[in-house]
Amino acid sequence: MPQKSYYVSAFSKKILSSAIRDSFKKLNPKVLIKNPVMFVVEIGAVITTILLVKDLFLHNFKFISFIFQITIWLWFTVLFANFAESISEGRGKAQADSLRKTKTEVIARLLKINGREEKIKASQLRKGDVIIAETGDTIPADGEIIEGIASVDESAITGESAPVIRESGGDRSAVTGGTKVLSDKILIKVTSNPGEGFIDKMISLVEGASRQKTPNEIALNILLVVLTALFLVVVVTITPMAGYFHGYISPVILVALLVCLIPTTIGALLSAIGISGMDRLVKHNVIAMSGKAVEAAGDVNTLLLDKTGTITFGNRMAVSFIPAPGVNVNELADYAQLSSLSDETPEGRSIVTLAKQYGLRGRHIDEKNVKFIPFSAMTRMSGVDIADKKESVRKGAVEAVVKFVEQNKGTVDKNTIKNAEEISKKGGTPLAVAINNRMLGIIHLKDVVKGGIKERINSLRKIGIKTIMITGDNPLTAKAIADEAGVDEFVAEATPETKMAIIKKEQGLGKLIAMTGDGTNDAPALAQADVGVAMNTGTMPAKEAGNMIDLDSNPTKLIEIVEIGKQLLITRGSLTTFSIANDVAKYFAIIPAMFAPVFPWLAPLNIMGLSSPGSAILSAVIFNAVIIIILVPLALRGVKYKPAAASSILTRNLLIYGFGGLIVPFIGIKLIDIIITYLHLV
Amino acid sequence: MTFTGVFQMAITLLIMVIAAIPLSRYLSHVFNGEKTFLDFLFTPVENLTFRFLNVNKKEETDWVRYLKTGLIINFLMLAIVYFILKFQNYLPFNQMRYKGLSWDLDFNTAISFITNTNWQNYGGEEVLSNFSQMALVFLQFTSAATGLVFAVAFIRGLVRREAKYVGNFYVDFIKGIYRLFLPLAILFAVIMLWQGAPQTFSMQKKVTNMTGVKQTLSVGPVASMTAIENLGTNGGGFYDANAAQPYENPNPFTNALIIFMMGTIPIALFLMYGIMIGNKKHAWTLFAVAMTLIVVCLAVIYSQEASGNPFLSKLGANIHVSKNNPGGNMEGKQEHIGIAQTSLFATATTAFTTGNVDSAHDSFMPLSGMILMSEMMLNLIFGGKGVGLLNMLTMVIIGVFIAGLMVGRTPEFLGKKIEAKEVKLATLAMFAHAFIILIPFAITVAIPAGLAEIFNPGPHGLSEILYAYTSTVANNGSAFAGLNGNTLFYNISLGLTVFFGRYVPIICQVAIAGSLIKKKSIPESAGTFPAHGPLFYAVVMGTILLVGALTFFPALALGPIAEHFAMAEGHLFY
Repeated sequence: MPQKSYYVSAFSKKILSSAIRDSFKKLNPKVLIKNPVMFVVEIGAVITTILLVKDLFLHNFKFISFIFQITIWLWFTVLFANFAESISEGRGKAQADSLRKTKTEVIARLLKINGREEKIKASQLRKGDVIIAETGDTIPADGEIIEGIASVDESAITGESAPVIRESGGDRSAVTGGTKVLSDKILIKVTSNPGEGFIDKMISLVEGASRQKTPNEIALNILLVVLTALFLVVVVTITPMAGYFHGYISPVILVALLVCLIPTTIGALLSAIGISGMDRLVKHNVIAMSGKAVEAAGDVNTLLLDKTGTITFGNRMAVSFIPAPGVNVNELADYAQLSSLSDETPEGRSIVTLAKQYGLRGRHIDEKNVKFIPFSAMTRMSGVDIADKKESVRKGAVEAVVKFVEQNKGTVDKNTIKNAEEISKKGGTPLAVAINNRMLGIIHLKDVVKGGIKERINSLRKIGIKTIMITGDNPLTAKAIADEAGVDEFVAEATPETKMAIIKKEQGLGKLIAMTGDGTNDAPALAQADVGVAMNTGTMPAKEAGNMIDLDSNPTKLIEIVEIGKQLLITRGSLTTFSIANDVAKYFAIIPAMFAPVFPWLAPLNIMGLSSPGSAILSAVIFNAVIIIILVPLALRGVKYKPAAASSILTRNLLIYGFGGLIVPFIGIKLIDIIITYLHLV
Repeated sequence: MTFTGVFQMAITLLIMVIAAIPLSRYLSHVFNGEKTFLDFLFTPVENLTFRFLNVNKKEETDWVRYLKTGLIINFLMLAIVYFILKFQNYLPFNQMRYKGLSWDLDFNTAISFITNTNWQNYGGEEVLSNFSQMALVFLQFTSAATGLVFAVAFIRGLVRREAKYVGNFYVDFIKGIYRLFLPLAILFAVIMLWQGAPQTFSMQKKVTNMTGVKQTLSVGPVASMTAIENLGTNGGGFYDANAAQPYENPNPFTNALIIFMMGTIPIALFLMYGIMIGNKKHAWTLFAVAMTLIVVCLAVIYSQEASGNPFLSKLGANIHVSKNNPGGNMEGKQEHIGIAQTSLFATATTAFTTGNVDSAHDSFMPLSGMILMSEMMLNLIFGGKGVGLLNMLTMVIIGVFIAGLMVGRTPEFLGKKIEAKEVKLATLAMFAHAFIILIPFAITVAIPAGLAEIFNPGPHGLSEILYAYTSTVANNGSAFAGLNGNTLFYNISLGLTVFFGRYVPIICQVAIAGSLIKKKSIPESAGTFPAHGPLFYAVVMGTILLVGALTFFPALALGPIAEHFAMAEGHLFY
């Protein structure tokens, strides 16, 4: 788990104050035009301001208080929208700042072709340069180790303080600029020019500098623009209609109606929702290369899950001892433990742990008498020889141990062999333990499925996502794990090409695929997948191919990423629905008020019983502005999301945001009307 | 309201639905190119036509070509009919020597008929020769088929995956006319003939009536026109008064028959859509949405008309139902048809956007008038041939987009992603509809040329103008009588709104089909919300009411709603 996260709370004092400043800066029409809905509000506010000034100069004070209040609230509407965007950006900026601090100018030790070393500034390094890094050095740029092995502190990027091993060749050869070598010496070939490194990329992503509108956001924007145009048409036609009755409706009221009808709520919060969606990923220590990837995560139909690391812990663990006939289980546990004492592999440790359950504590062994036999691929066994007792204990592959017993003129009974086969069939791994010519029994090793994974896969199924487990294991083992984890499908004996084949097949069916990967041979599949999450511990090609990077390198997180993607889309849809549904109440507030002087018989439409035409219009405008601020936390946090079938999610959100959107403004406008009337504001 | 009244309405609607089911099956076979029991009859004739037109019936085109072909053929027919009406005095079957139409009336009439609108600024029997009438009948066939085949193209856009071609316009068009409209038109013309509608090439018949007075009756090929007028949801009748003229609508049975003719095919098209996309439940849900709207509209109109005008009651008129008194608001209605069937007729003619009328919509109660307008403003309650379905699906796309986001996925409709392009085109179609109604309406109420022709002052006058533009843009063609439309200003402005109201949405919608057809289809899962059932119903209904209808609220508020409340307060405008 991460010790440190770049996540910063939105409501810190610093962010708030800079957001308020930015809200005013964003009044600049050149900036605001990117948000057409709010741009229209700003134009409206400018119009009413001009009318207000005109009335001031003409000493026309009859409606001046009303016009003043409407004008103020229109400006507030724009400011509130700007504030929503600023505050979501502010958080990103703060995160970027804390990343930037890790990026101090370092001196690089450039290795020249003639073998000499030269100290230069990191900013002078170019792709292809070879540098040296030794204990205590900060690695000056992204690169690949071409020689050596070192333990590296990557906490600057991952927040994880435990050092990781980096070595030349293979999947662990990539190093990142800004990380620190803790021990040993390595030669690094630089792979990025200054300013293009991983940290730089991360900073610009977190900051939102390279933020582009996502496909759904673009589509939604079109809808909002057309709705705005539609209501513009509606409002424009009101003047001639009133003229038909020889009436006149003040442009201030028309502007007020327009602003209330156009979808300002969602228009104001749309970009904040998008930005905070990316932020939520950062909170989970995942960096998305684009907003598009976050959205695609919500759309995913199929998850490709690596068995090792994602579904299981990746290490086989001893789960039981099965003694041979005539052998006490305690004896078996005893010798199993003895043979594993020096076995530092996770399997070995798990045997020691299991043995403890039989009351066996770790013991002191006189090292003079004991010779540890390490595991080798040739013998496929490990163990100990105890010289004074003339005991040779062996633990290892069943055939190898059987051979060992037979070499010592012992015999192995059929039951033990059968037990071993049984374990293999269930997908486990049997290890035999023998002492001299006596077979003691079998240790059952098993790939242990991570806790809670079954529930998560179940909840994925509920939301219609298929899970495919990929493993290099044989079909038997794979099936056992697949059954235990509850995945929908599994592919055993997979090769690196298998992933690619599955992705292409599923995509051919029109599905979107997500996967995680870390190795170089995962890179093509990561690139092909719609959502490719590269592990930060992975190789550079893998990181470049994926569209997200998990700094914690925890593949199980794929599931959270999907949920965050969904939550982002849900928040957008819900607030759009809310915004549109609000119009009904606003119509009922403004239409009778607006037409009151023109056509007084429309009074029965004032079903809220608002006290006066002026207060009705003002209340609607105030509600329209205030609701933006009220919804900012929801936009930043996202609508609550619990995995469930689409229809039940929709029912819930339709009720809350659709039906609620109809009702809430009726109550809100009425309340504001009561307050306004009480304060004699109109 | 009487039990008989409700029963009459229910039974008529029920029969339409029952008849629509087998018809929908037949139509899906026709447009899927599958075998039908009538192939032996139609295939040879069709093949002959295709050979004559040099059309390869196996060749399909992309949406652009399909649309272009359709539009060019439409404009060509428009020109032909324009010249027929213009020069009818040089053409046959004109015993009365009627002169050619003035250019503006001709413009209005020709456009109105090619677009399936049939707004009539002329009195048919008094200005058109029988040849001209038959030219209009020709357009009644082709305009209905045009709307129908564009809907078929749209459906193919949904059904086909990663494809390009939406079909062959000529083939679909000819099939629509040969296999649907012609046979049904012949059948119903014969029934109308049997019920007493005239069918002759002569234009007048001199008779001596019962009181001994000599009278000249206008006659002509009425039965045949009445059949296609309603089957094609055209609505342009032979006579000025349409179905309020007894030769077009002789008795209560033909009244119900006309309703049946108007509604059965539009209902069948909804169901055909379900069969063609392989999701009948989805189509039945849309059917339920449209049917709910019809029933609600009908309920308002019938209750308003049956309870009548409180003013008349105050003045001492007996507006209560009794054995010898129909009660309610009988102004502008026919005694032998009665309030119930008149209400159903009016609801149907605006829902199915036919535009044929058997009563004066102008004389309905204010709220009834509002409902009639609302039906045309929505223009998707089954609607006209094909376009009703297209408009419904446009709303569905908008609704699915918003609601789809709420389940946390890029919205999908029948497995196809709804993205920026579809949203753009769908909202544009919706926007165009509202824009083309409201802007000309607003201009008209602001200029003397517009105001000079209204009959009633106050909100009712406003309603008259609003109704006119709504009716033309929705390609309905019914009129809120009262407004005199045969002026240069109205002929041109209504002609233009008819034109743009028809073609702009259609172009957008066929373009949507062109975009959808290229897409992959994503298999349905628990994560996609189902396009059927109560939830989908609520989404579609909510979108129609919130996005589609709210736009018109201010205009309706100052028109019929204002009139209603003023009436309740005891205020009259005269």
